[in-house]
Amino acid sequence: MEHIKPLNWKGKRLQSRIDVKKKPEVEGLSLLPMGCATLFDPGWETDFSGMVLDGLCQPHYRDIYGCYGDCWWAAQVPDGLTNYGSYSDECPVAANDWRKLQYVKP
Amino acid sequence: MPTMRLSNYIDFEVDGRPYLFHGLTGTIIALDDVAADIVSFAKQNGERVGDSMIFEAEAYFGQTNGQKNHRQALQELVYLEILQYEGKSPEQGFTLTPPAPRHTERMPVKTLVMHLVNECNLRCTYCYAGDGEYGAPKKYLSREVAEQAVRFLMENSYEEKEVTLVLFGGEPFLNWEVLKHLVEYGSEQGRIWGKKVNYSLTTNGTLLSEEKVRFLEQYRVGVSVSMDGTKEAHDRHRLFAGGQGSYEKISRNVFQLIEGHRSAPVGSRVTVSKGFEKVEKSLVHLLAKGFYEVGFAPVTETDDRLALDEQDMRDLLEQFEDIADLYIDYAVNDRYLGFSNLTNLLKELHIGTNKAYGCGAGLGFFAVSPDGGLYLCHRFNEDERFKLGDIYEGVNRQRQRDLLDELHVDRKESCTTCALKHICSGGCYYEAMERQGDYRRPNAHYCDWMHEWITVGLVTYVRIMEKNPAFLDRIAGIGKEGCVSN
Repeated sequence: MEHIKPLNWKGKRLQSRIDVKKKPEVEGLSLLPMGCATLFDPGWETDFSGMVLDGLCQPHYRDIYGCYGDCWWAAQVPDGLTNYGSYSDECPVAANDWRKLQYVKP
Repeated sequence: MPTMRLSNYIDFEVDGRPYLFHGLTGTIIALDDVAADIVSFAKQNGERVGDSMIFEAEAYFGQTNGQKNHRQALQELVYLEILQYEGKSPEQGFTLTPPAPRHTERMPVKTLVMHLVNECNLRCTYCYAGDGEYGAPKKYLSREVAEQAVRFLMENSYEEKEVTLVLFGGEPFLNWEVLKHLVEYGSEQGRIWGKKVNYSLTTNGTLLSEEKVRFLEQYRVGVSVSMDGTKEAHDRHRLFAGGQGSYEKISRNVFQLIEGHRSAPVGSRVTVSKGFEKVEKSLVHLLAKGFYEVGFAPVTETDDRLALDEQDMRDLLEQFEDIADLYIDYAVNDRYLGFSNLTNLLKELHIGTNKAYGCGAGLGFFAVSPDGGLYLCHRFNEDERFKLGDIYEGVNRQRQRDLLDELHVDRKESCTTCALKHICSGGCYYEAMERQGDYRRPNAHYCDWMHEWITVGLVTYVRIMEKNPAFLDRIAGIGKEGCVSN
């Protein structure tokens, strides 16, 4: 903002939201997890419609560890019996380091 | 080029510098020359609708030769949604009014105003309760009803962790035994239900005693004593039933109260009526007694002998403005002048309040009559048209929903283009009924006054912001983390 300057608390808050809007930054969605993915699992935000999960069923998404564990996934997925043990080595905390996750291409 | 709307705004100056308050988003901004130019163009060339100006962007750019900085300033105002394209909803929805609740089924009850008795030992000339009787025969709240009200509050506040009981009357100390029981029982139930119970009390101060002060201290009861300023001003209206003034008696009691009661704030409330004393005089006089804050409210009256006329209201505003200057002197030196009208306004301006209702009445706030009826607020007590259930059967949710639909600010047409839409929201329902003849109408009799008063608040705000911004965070209850605590 060059020409106007918010002074009060509310104005500053709105400004910060606009600045975020102007310099897009990928954020974890604040909606509840949908499908089997938890909030910070990468991949699922490519399809957050809550209706269609076809994006997540593409082979290259299937290694994403959000689909591993006690989820509804109908069939066992590769990450349940992963042969790529080191895929998350650089990603100890998914919420912070998820950009470093490696894709496993089948 | 589109038509634009500079919506719901008040522009003002401080030391020759331009500022603007945008009422829908609650933003206060400083303008540079370019942005100020847009505002003055809109004012001169636009079509005025309430506090909004509608103008053609093309005409503006024609005048400025479409210079880049003018476009950018315009864009910045659009980003903040202060400036909008006609016929197009702003993207982010910063300007939206909270809608009326679609269903009220599990809306928590948070505050009950308890009418301990509908009688008073004073006969104030301007009292809206008609000798403290609210148009009904004498009634005292009983222990049983008090207990039921507490249980009702505990159950119907659902997940709320804090609830409030307002001890009100008439004069609540006329029913001292039940008052005591209500607070003791409330605290006991609060412990059982895991809720903090806050108490506040409005009293005329005539019936205080050492025992009562100790009790108020023990249970951290916030107290508001109704006083009208110096002895002369006070005794003009606040009389005992026998006709003698109540000042001396109350002053002695207030001394004792302020000495003995340190656990919660003790404030004073002044009713401003025809021929009122200089506000600053009353304020200084009452603060000297040790009150933490003093609030001033014009009497709700239609009788010309008591009601404030236009000239009175102008005088009142001027006097408020003088106190605002004093307030600034205090604030920049990190001291607090307990003029609560201004403090409350500054809080709202800082936080950028966005409310759809003039007050919390009927949302989480209800009055309880001595027989356990739930009413829209204490001023509608015992008025069957505003009964919203009772503490036995619960809130009549359908009635509540219908009433909230009727009272929503979007139903008040003249408010839609008003700069104060989200801060005044049409004002007090009872005032509207008394003065406008319909509780659903906006308080049109105060519109101009409110605009001027809020402009005083805005100038005060900017002046304090320049020298001591932390003061504003502090009074608004905003901590270091940027969290709003109240």
